[in-house]
Amino acid sequence: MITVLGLHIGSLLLYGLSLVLYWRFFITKRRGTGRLAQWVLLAGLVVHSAMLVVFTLQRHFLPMGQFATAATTFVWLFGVLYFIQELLLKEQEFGVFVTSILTVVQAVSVFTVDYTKPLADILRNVIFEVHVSFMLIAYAGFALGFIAAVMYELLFEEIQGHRFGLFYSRLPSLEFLDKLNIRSVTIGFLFLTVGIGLGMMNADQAWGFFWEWDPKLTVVFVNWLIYLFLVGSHFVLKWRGQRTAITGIIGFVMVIFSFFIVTNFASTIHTF
Amino acid sequence: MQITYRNITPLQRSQFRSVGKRIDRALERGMMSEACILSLPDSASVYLVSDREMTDPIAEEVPGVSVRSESQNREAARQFYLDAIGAGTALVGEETMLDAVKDDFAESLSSARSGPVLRELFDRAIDLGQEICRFPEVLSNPITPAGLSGDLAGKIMEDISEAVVAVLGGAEHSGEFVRYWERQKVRRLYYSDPDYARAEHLASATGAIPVRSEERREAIVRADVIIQTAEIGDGPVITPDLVEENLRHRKQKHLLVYNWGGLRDLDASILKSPAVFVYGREELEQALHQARAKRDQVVERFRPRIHEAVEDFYEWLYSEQRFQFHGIVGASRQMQQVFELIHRVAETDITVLIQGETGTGKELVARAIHEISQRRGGPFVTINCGAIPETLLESELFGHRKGAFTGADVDRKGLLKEAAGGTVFLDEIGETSQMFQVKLLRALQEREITPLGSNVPQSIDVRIIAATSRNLREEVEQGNFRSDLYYRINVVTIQLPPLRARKEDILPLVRYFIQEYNAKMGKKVAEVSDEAAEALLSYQWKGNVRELENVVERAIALSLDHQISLNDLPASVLEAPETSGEEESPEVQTLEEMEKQHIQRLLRELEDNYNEVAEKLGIGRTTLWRKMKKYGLEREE
Repeated sequence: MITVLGLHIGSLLLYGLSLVLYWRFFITKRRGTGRLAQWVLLAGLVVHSAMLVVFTLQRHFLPMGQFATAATTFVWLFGVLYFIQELLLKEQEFGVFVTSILTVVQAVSVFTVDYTKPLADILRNVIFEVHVSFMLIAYAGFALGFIAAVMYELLFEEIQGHRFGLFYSRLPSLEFLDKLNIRSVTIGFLFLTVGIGLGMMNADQAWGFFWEWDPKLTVVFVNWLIYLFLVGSHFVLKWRGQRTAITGIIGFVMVIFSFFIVTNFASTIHTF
Repeated sequence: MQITYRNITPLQRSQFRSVGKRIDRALERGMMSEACILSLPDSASVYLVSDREMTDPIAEEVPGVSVRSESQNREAARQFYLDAIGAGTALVGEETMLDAVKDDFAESLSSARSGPVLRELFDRAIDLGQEICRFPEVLSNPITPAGLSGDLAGKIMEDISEAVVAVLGGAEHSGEFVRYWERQKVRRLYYSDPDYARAEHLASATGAIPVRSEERREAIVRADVIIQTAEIGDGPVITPDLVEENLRHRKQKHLLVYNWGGLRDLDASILKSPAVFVYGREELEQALHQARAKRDQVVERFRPRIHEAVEDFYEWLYSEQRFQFHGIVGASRQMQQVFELIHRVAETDITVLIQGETGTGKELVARAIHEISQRRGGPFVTINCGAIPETLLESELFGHRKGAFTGADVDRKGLLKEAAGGTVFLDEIGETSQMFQVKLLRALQEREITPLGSNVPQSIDVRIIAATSRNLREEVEQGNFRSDLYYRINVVTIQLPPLRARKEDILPLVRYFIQEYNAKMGKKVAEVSDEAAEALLSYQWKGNVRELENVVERAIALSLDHQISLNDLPASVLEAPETSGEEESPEVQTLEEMEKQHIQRLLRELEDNYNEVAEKLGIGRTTLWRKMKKYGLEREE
């Protein structure tokens, strides 16, 4: 237990440090700082992986039985996805945004985790694990889309406002950000759809019904509708650019809402 | 050694030319040894190199030209670096600026204004300049209107080579944009000029698509980037309707409207669409101004580097290394000119004839040409035509088939074929027979050879450098050498002066050989005694540098302490009468010949300082000038 908590906190500190370094890199554009940030992020991911492995070995179950553990798995997944992206595209400008999310979510996870809580028996099955994994991948996709949308908006405002400032000289092109946003959101949406379907199968086994207008399930459904709209508006209505960016930002805020608020304050049968 | 810099203004063609003429005249008179003119956006920089204090040949004499700033030596060298990157001008850090400087310098080299000192400075300045031009902070701060349009487009589009660009406006403002976007290799580049003929003219030079006024609508509707540079007269212009049609046509993809001038009263409604970015002249100029300030900061940050580079350059300038060139040592002006010539012939595949007495280093020159030419990666093959029997020489060079003659039991490729991509050095070409000369001429002219016993010609890819110690022209006159081959190989002749005609090279050579043989023999000889140096300087050196090398080698082997003294020199050197090369001729000379030789000697001793020479001779400068002309003693270009 102590080891896991130690590794958990250790990875949080490393993510925090990488956030500071990515911020420094964003401002100064110094290659050396960027490389250092990359190494620190890698170290954070390694420590984090160790934590997840130890946790799984001790409990014989992937760390997704409660909100805090699912959140930390999400952080790991998102971190790894971003890291691969950084190695492939050699674009380090997102780093500051990504590590912000990693640090915040990991912090929430560290402070709310309860290692002593036993795993509910109904969750001990493969479909549940796949369901959670898919949902996490979907959220990672939305998070990346959100970052792209925010960067789009920041850059857009600068270009439209005829200011050649901080973001102008640092971010990739609007079209690139637009594409990144749409792709991440589309992939996220596909995983979300399948994930919800798997969740329904799981619910059928655990609770005996597919669906219930429970607060949390309702919010997830609304999220699904938002992303359905986002993906549909692009592919059917041919929306792009700023409109897509703003919709993406709003959509992701809703995701955050479902994750944090509903889990912690609403009473729900879907307890994490 | 003194370097002088002058920044002159204004810069009109005629004045430019008269400045150039004045410089050429000053060079001819030996008032200075090197010069170059770099034209900058709104002025010109003149760099002069001289061995001693010089009077200024340009500033006051050219009417209408004023000197804006000037400096000497290290300051001047530093300015050369700054000029190469256009520091302080509207083109600071632009690669085009660097290219313009390269062109100007190539010009000053080909007109023989510049020599080794400025060439070295130029090479170093260009290296650093390139680094600055490619510095990320320089690249990300475009300072030309066209560069800014490209940068903006790059922030909006993922890949600007996919863009369709329309440039609308008169040629005087549009040319820069059309050329810039042409270099970006965009998918399509429209150019519309109120005067269609001008549009066609510029388009034909750049590959843009000329657009008639009435067809402009199509260009406006299809473009991802619309650049308006001036009023465009009749026909469709950028209106809210057309912009809307453009967005519909291009499925709401972002549109950049770059209004550098001429686009007025643009409806506010098109600004509202989040897919359209409109930029006006004022904000663009402000952005350019900021970018220039940022580039100036970068240049400021490079100042310590430039300072260091200048110190390095000065170290080179005052080192013996300066007189070494790929193993050839020469401080004399004759040898410096040879080095310059080597540089120039190395750029092409031209056939070169090297003429010089035995031991003057003909092979070293050939090797230097090879080493700085494009062929340096290929083989360098030396054949001494005088040392190989006639028949063998042929089969060596051209190859032979199996059974072509007795003893030819295998196929053999000729050296001319085998040295493909490299250089073949034919030493002592004057020793060959007429038969061989015919074959060689054919190989040179047709660029192919036919091996002995074969009738299938093979193409060759070699550069030929020939050398001879004979006077080939005389040989041609006497019928010993074929005139057609002579003219074929004599495209460029490098004349290597005998050592006795360039005494100032003797001591640098001695020092060079001392270093070499110290290393080889593990000795620690540091210097030459004054008496020994005097003996070496007054000797005739019939065997030239090779003889000198042997004498030094022997002296180092014999020397007992850290000095070469008289005792270490061979008797032949010591016994030589103290006479100079020209005076040794035994026949009785005419007065004219005496006069010519006397002037020649003074010119050499006083390093072509005509004022001093005239003074020593007790005649006027014009008289000296006339006499030099008469005897053909003018400095060769």
